[in-house]
Amino acid sequence: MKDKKRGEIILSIFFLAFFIMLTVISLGYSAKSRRLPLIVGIPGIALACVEVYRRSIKRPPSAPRRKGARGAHEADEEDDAGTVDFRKAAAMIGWVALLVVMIWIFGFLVTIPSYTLLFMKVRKESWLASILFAGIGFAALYVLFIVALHIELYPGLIFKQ
Amino acid sequence: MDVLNAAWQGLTGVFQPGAFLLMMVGVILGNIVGILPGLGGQFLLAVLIPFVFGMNPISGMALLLGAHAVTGTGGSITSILFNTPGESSNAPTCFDGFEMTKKGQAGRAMGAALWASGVGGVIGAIALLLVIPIIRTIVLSFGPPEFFMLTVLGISFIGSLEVKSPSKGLISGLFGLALSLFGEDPSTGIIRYNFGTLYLYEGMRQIPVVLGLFAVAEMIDLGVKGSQLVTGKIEVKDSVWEGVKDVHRHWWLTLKCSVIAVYIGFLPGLGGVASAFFTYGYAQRISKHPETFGKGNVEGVIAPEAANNAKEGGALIPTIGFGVPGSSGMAILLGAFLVMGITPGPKMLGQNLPVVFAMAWTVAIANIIGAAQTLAFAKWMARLAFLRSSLLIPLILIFVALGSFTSSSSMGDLILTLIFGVLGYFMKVYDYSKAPLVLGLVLGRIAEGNFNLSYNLFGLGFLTRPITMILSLLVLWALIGPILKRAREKGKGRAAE
Repeated sequence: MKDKKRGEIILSIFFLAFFIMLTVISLGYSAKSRRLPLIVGIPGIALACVEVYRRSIKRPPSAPRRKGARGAHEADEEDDAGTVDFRKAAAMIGWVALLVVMIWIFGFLVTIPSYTLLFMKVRKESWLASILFAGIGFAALYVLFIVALHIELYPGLIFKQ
Repeated sequence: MDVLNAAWQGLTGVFQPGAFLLMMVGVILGNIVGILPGLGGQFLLAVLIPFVFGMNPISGMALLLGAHAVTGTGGSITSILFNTPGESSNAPTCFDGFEMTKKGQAGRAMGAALWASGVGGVIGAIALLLVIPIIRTIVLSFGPPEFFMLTVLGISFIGSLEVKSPSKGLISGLFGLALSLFGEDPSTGIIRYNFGTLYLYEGMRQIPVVLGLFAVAEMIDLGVKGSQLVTGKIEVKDSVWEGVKDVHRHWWLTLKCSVIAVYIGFLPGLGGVASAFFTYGYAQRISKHPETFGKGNVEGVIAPEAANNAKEGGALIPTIGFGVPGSSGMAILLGAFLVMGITPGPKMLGQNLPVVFAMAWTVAIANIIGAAQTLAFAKWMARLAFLRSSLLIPLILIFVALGSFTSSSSMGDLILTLIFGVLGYFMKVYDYSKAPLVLGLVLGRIAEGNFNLSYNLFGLGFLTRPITMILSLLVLWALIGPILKRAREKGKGRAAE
């Protein structure tokens, strides 16, 4: 519950900072170019401030949040849904970032099978399944993108000519 | 009589063995490319244009339109199964389609999406057939002020897209609008918010943003939970046929959304993404159960999918009638017309009327065939949702990376996909709806361009033009309607207590 509140506040502050940045930078543009940024930025700042305030205020434990017609059980479930295992989330974000970095360095053709193999092995799949799945996935994408659609895939920093 | 003759010639032309075979090839390719994220109808048209050199116009059109008409159909499959839209215009299908998959109703969702796509496409083609004689009057009645108010109407649906927390919905929508301001200002040419990078000169690209928000965010969530997309028994309980029947149960919704999409499709510059979001918001507004939208309501699948294919018929109207493409896909098609020796415009409606009718027939027939093809495999494809996360995550992430990169061959797109994947994950966790964000991103740029044009041409007087005033009233209805509805429901609740 606390985690959810803290996370909501951080996300609201992110939006607030974004809208402030949008508005401040727009002041350097011509009148015409800053018109819409201001129309969007100012209400954005106001709404984000309200959201930060709403999430920051403490609610007395005896006065539970109104959930309309929904039952207490559903309300509890919703609160649980907002909790994040930050360690696991960071690990998953790391996996996505790793994919981007691998593509940047090694290109698609090397990354596709090696990333699949690596991910599956770390997630405790068998060697046979990992190699088979990586191979089939690579072959399917190679045939589709390179043979059939003639799309030139990024070769990576190392293999770039 | 001439018109009927031309319609008959067009129909028989499409059923000539060569043309029909080419249309079938086009439909198969369209379905495959539609499934691949980032590769849409425009890509396929560009790839196929070299093949139509030397073909007769009806055969060439059969191949190109057969392929282009059904790309949205294939794109709905990955939206429903993996929360990964095949094209940006499939993004609204994710909201309810993926929720239905999580409930074990993937087959039903796909049945509804695919059949709605087919029916929508046919309605689009019929609209094209009906509108041909009165094209000029309709297109000329819309200027920048009307375009602007139409986009404002679309944006005003933001309020109704977020049920849990209106303030979070508005923040998300404003964030999307703000992102649409990145890049070159259409009216002054000033580059805004590019932070010194060349990548942002053209603004935020929709495909990486949408793929990140939906597909990557979902994969991060799946990885954190460490299970599979669908938990429960590994069998598809519901039938695809049930989804097909859903479309007929909601025939009025299908028809209305298709007609709206045809209209949006034929207005140059608004595009298919706008029509899909617009109809999704509209479906929620008129639904008897708006609170179930985003939680697996089949109406939320039918509306955008019917719109997705119907808009192609609409987009063909100005392309054929004026030589003004209704979308970027149509701009490429225009090039293909010239390759085949056809000059679009009023002359075409006189000299090449059978070819015009052949196009309409092709769109209609291709949509039926495309829907039937994918429906035949839907039951088996639904089982993919039961794959373990360790198998699914790398496959989808690679699929997304390929889609994101191939949309513009830029590493920047991959980084953008990653950033929006992380943001999308936290938005999901903390109940920020992503629909308003995408809606704002899509419509913001169109709204700004048309607002500046309207203001320069008419000052604030543009608000008093008749169609603009009607649209303004609709905007008011869209904004105040949900508040009044909630107030009424509260009143009823109190009376019941």
